[in-house]
Amino acid sequence: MSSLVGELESIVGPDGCLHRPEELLVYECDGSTLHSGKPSAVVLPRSREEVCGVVSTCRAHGVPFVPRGAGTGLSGGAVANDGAVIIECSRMNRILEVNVEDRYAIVEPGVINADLSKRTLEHGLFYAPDPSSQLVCTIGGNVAENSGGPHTLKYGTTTNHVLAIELVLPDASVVHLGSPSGFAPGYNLVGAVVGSEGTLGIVTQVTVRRVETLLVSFPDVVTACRAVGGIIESGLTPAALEIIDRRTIAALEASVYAAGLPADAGAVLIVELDGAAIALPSQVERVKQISTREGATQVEVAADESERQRFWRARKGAFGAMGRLAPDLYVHDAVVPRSKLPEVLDEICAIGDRYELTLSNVFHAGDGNLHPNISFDRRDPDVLERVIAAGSEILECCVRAGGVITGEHGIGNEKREFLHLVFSEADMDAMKEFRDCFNPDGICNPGKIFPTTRFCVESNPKSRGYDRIEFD
Amino acid sequence: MIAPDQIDALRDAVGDGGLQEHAPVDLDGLTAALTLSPADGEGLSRTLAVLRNCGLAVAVRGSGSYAGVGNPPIGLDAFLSTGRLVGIEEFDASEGVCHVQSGTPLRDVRDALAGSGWELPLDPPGRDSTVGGCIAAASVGPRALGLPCDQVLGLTVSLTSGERVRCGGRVVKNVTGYDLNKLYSGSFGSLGVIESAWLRLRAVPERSASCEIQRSDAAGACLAAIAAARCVSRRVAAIATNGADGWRVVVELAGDAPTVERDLAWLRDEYGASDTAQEAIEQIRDLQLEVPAPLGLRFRLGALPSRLESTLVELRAGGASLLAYPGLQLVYASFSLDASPDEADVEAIFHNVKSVAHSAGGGYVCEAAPTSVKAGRDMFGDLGASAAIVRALKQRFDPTGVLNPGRFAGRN
Repeated sequence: MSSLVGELESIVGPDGCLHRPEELLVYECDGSTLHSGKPSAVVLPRSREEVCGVVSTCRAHGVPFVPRGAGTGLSGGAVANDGAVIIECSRMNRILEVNVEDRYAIVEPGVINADLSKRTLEHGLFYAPDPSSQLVCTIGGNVAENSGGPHTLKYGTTTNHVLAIELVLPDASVVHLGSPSGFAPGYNLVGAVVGSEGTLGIVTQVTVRRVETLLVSFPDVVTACRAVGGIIESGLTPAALEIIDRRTIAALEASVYAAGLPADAGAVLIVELDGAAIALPSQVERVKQISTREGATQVEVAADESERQRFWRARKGAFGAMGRLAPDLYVHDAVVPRSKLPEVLDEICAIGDRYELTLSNVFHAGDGNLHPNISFDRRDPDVLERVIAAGSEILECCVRAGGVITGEHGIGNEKREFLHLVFSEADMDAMKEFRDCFNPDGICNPGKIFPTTRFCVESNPKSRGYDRIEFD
Repeated sequence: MIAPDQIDALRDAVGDGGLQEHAPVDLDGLTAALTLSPADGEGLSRTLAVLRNCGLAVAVRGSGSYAGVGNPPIGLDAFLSTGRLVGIEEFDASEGVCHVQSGTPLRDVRDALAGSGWELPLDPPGRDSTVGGCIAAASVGPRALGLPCDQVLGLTVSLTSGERVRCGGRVVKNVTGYDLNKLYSGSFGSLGVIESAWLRLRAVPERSASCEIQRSDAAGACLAAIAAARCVSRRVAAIATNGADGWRVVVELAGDAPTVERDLAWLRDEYGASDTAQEAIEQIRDLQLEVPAPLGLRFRLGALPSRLESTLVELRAGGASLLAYPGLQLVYASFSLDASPDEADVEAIFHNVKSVAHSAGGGYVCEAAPTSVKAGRDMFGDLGASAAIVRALKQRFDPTGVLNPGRFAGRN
């Protein structure tokens, strides 16, 4: 291993290679602490050439490698399986070009999502995908996971905004896919690489698209899912339709993210509309009417930008506020047809009750993208088994309703054993054939997405003084 | 030549009434006198498995509007038609999604959606275009909302292994497994045959209006068309050459009534737009498939807005008739050829298009060309470093070359 570290240091410099146990500790997990793996080393390249050098070195030593952005993923996609080397792209954080006339930007993978919008705001442009972690997560990570966020309802997920990619393949060669205009001959490899969870290669440059918008927003307290269905059926396409439930409201209002949400509300629906200013008043009225018809008890329209920011502070701070409920949080991610939201939510609550777990919901209702959150304290005996079992039932319930097991967090380590709930062996074999065209020997991000024979939560908990949990 | 026992095996596989023998039909120099039309997904997958076992090759067809796209085939024993894979399996009005068999003509889907408040965001040229053909050819038209793959939520695809595989699903947001919807979309049936698709629909607009702007120069036309393309309510923004010198910009606005009225008034005031009939959109769509008689070439290029004017000027100088959709960043260029075209003239056109496409920020595809012109040229241009991946995909998904062999990019 010392030979490997020495060679890696010769490529990225001593300050670009972490290998001491205390340095590696924080790289054992991503945003979810349920899955972990200890990397052999972590390298922080500054250029495509350094990435190629690192990949080449890993290959020569037969050591797998895993690309990583900011580590905010929630499915264990950036966790090092099999003692892999983590290639963290956070130092490749330059915005290489902002082309206002042609509405695209070329960025390195370590650029932080929110920084791109900040940079382009002066031109009245923004980058639409806005995951909750947008203040820290990176474009490269977003590409790997096909990240979404509240505004994907209208503007689409990352895949709808990526025009071209520079990819370092697992054999250390470089390939350019797509073009700034979005039109390129051959297979649509850009579209198929987005969301591949870092299993096909390492993205070293991304060309992204942006949109213009005016924003008006207002919150709505309703039997929220019916209102969401009513709004969509009316033909309106809001920029965002987000629901926060009672338990989350309570946690939020007791936290630093307190936004003055109605304490007596059973749920809050955030509706954001954008478009031509002349059309917004009538759209706001239609949403009010639908919400009232469906049982809203209060409708509040943001009077100005600061009030709008207050509403969004609540939504985006929700996961942080969960820390008030329990020390550990398992954020689930599944999608169901919108019309099935009420019955699926009922069933999810029943599952939480049956396993005696604290379960709350904050989710992208317009997309049918649920985030059931289980708050727990892993020091409690047997709680991890209950958390995992409840999670499994939640996924099965969503699939039964015609849904899928992840809408924006990815499969990673977390859900690979559940992929069979959605896809047959033949379906998965076709996907593996696709993967093998890029990554034939599996050296790039091994063990992700597809079921393995070693289903266990490699929670490594011994290093934290917890018991290791294994499942059949 | 297909052996009699192979014919029998195919007849069994494709099912009753699914095998039709006919006069030889030419496809870029090869002919086939057999069309296979399975009636369901199982028949399709059985047929593909037999084709593979027998070492036979087919050209896959929807309505045929894009049947001429591609390099000359390196094998052709039969045509495989999706013409009997028809029907709308499910339409969920509360979701705005539908599940459609691949051979279903788009007009049938539009008829079924009429009055529901939803419409199909696909708009390929070709009056008989099918859902599967539109997706497989990545075909767009003036009213398209991006590429077809952006509207595809899930696909069921039959592979030559005889497996029927799914990707995506019916929900509008999904990262479960690789997004192979993107891979199959635009693959011209070279990896598998689309059996059915889940599609995202869009809400029918409250109001629509169309208008037209005339300009004598490309610069003025581009200015007006790009401005129109960036209107909030823009559904169509197209530029077309108009006779010898002029340019016409055809615009359709759609959305809520106040926005449409506002945008229309702005285009009238700023660019002198005048009202036009909806038929103008149909005319534009028909232009997309036109190839000059007696012989001609038609190209599709990507072009960034900042390069649109120079792209049009340079292609026009080379003798092209032009159609462009600035909102989709696409240009269609067609060139007339002599009945016996001079190779140097043809080469000059390809050279010009390649150079212009490079400067315009995208690639190109030659969508229509005489067979003699296709020889020795790749109709999809240069794949660059991705050629190895494209080749590997074809090898893995269709190792014996059943599906449109040689016709796709890189002659795969």
